[in-house]
Amino acid sequence: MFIAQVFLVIFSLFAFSRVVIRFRKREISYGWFIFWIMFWISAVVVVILPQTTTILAEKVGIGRGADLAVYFSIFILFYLSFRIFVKMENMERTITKFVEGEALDKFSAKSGPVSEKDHENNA
Amino acid sequence: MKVVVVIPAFNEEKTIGNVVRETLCCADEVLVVNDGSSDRTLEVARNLGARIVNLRINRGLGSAIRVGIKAALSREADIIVTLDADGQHNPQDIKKIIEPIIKNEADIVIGSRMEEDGMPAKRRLANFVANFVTFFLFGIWVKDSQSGFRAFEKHAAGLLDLKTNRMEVSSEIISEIKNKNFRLAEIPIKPVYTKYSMSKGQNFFVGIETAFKLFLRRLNK
Repeated sequence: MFIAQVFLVIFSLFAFSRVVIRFRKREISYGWFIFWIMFWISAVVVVILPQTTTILAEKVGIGRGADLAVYFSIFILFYLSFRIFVKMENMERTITKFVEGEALDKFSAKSGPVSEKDHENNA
Repeated sequence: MKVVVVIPAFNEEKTIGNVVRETLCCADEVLVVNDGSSDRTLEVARNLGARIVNLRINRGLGSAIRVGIKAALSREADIIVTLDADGQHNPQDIKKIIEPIIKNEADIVIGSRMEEDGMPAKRRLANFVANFVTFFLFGIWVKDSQSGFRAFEKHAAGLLDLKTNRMEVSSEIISEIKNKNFRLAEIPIKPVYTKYSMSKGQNFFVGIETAFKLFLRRLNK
């Protein structure tokens, strides 16, 4: 086994353990737990047995196994960054709604209703 | 007619004092929306007699304008004016800008800086690009889509449906003018360009981000 392979397997096992810990702490959902477990298991298999990607690549009509791995990684990265973008936008919206609501509540409580004097001043 | 001036402010302790002081004489109420400033913007504005809406976390220009308009409506404003806290707008122009609403000739008025000769070339170009992007996405051409000096008649203000949080709100207001068929007037104003106010504008990358968010807003429609 090459040094790079050893390093990648160790890293994958480390990432695998993080997934399990996060799932135990209920910080990730069941669906994402399955996704990441499958992902890191596949990573270990591909690192130890690179020829598996070639078999898969031939089945889907892509010439080399390495190309398939690169295409797949790019696809996953784009999809995940899109999900993070959507999540962040939703979070931004929720925070904004909360902060605006709080500001307006405090403003109304402090200002009180518009008084008669205000109306006279504006007449 | 009750005129309430809304001033969104984020870290503007250097200029907010003068802006509030000069605005108080031209409005029935001055309402500063402190957008999560970490400096003394809030204290300075409050000590000078402005009403304060305090956003505890910085949420951006769009959020500050949205909250400011709601707060002004709760104060029974007939006309709501927004102007920038960096001192680039002359509060003496408020009279000019609310006139079309008082005469019932417009629902929304934009103070246009483009007709003035003093605008630096860089700013003029950036504004032209912003006008073009606004036109391309929302189909309405205005002379100064990014101007922060505006006046809203109360019913029009109540009907505005502003969803964006940051700089893109300026173009969003223009799209609302078109969508809701508001009568628009554009009045030339004379901006005050200082080193400080010039440093406060959008930079190139914020401009790109703003355009991208506007594009998403357009897709959401």
